[in-house]
Amino acid sequence: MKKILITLILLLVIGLAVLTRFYKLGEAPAGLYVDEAGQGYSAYSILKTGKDEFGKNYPIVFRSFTDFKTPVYIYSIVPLIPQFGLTPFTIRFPSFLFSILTIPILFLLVRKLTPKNMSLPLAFLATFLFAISPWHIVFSRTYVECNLALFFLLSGVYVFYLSLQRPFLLLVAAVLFAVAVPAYHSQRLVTPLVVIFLALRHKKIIFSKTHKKWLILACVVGFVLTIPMLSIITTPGFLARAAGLNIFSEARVPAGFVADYQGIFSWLVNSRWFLSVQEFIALYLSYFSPRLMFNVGDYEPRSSFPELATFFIWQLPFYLVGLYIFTKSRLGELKFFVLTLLLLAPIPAAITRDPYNTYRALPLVIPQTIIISLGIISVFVWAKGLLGKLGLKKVFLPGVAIFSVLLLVYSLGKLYSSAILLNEYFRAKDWDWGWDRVVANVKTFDSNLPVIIDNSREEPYIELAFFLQYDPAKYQKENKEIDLENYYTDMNRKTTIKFDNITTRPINWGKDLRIMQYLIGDELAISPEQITRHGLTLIKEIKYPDKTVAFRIVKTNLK
Amino acid sequence: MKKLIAFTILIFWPLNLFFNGGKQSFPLENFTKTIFQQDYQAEQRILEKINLYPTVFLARVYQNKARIYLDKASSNLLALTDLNNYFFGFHPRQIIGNQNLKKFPFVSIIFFLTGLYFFNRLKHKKLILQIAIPSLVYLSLLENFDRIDILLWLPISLVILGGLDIVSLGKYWKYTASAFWIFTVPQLLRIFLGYQ
Repeated sequence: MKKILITLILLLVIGLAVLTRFYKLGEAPAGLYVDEAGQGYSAYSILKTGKDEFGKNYPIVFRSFTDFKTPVYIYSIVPLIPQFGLTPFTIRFPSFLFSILTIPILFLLVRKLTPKNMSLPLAFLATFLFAISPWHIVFSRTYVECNLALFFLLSGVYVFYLSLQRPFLLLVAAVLFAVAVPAYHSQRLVTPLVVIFLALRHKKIIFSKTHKKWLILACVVGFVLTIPMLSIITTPGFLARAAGLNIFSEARVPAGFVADYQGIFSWLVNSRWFLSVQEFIALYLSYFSPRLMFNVGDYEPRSSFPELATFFIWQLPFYLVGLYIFTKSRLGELKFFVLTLLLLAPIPAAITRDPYNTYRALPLVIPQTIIISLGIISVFVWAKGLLGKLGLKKVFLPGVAIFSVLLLVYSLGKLYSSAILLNEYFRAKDWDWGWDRVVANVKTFDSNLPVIIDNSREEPYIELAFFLQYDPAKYQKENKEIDLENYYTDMNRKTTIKFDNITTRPINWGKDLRIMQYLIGDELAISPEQITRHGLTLIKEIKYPDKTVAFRIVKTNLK
Repeated sequence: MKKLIAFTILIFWPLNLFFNGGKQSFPLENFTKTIFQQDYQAEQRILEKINLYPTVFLARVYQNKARIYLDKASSNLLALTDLNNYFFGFHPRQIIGNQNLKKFPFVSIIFFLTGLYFFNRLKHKKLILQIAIPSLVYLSLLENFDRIDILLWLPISLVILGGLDIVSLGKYWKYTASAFWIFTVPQLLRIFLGYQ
């Protein structure tokens, strides 16, 4: 096929990916989750002061509530803020951008690794399915580090393969892998394992005379780039995620533990090694379960769209056919790559307690999409042969074209239905909807009166900092939370945060009624009964799209 | 050794059903209660969602009553073909209203996958398909297939035993057999003590 036609088709696929990811970017999901607000404000703070909101100069991992966030995404937001401002769009833009950049990389990689007779159709089909993949779209429309990490991992793998012919590219591959590792927690495990597998597979070439010099240089560069991360590798900050979620952690009661059994067989019945191994295998296998892939999806409301699993249900038969073909056919290097990623990608997710966590297992979308594509091609070839035998060859191609267009239209409609319509209506609360409206109201208040925002259940301070675009230098001065030498080790929190006349803390129904001030809280914090009982004036009720109350704003009345 | 492993695999599901399966009531009408019975709540949910669509056509395509039955049937079918159902009691995504019993020792998944991979070499492949396919269709159409899914005990056991035959001829058989007992003894003990 002529190069120009290939480029044109690829551009069409990329256009489709842009359509599914850019439409209402920043508006859907409606709301801004606290993590998004937190990372956005950290980036804003870095831009304005060179420090995060805790006052730490250019952190290696970013402190965020009782957790630590990886740095690559946050630093990628920094240059965007002067262009687009501090908005949800800006925070989500890097995720969108890298998700689009992943598409040509996937195309090139599949084309390079697949045997020539099917390399082009498979590369096109895989990128096309990837462009409309619900799994990848969920994470391309919001702030998620795993999306960036996937781009760097895939790019690293692609450049590694190129380097087999051009040794100096080993250096570029090392840089890409070194960026992938700190880009997301699970990549700390997946990327090194992928690199080891690739190195073992191609050891003859990369350890050959032509490559040796570049290999040593690549190792040195890779090592130097990971030194900042290695320097904090043993701190609680770096290990926070792994320690908190690990199913093998001593601090955690393993799944299946029978607390009320204290008999003589307790050491066997409640054996930690037995229960943990059993849980790990169950979690690991769940990433290959058609039930979870095509029907149930990720239970986490921010990692899925309503009524849509990680793949479209119509892809199920092709997945099964693809698996069969994959196991029985000779696919050369593609088989090695798909198998490696298929087996390695779920490991970090399976050692954490959450069931079927598509966020941590995102690299798995690549091999599974390739397998579905293989299934589609196989069914296509089989159907073509069958119809040829029946003398219906003429109707085959038009039939496939009509069927494909209908399927595409249906899938895009399904995405629109789930990602835009249903998600906004049913999951507004999960996306911390409404804080921009709270801030807009607060700005209209009498600035001489204090404003108390209840934080019993949420972390509203970061939403306020974000939407108020509060001066980071002032924030750092007014709200010192920890000593900087303990940045990566001290996990204590400050519960009261101040922004001029606004304070976030739990409402005290005794003291707070004795002062003329505004109180803001959710439906539980300020109920209609409390308004009547305490003689409060209801200023505003902010409601979710489903008309339930998100926030109540009231004013106290001195008796 | 192989026979003892085969025997343990075969009795595991009936044993777990006997010791732990009676903890929830089992109405006999479950055998005949199908997904086609009217579901008022599901219909109401669809009506609520219909209002969110900009056009009637879109709403009808993505939110219609036929979907209630299709969703239930596909959900049942995929649950019945989920490996975690048989070897881990649906962990980590247990189903509400289902006892989520473990049906086979989880190490026997090695034999099951081997049997599946070499399905054409299995002795009873016709019998397996003859029982499994109609059973899957019937169970998919039930409102709640919990405990009635014992219908699949024979075909799945035959695949596992076929896989066991193949694995027992391999060079890692001793290690596999050891792993089987190491992990299955605590599982059997839990069943006898009345725990899942």
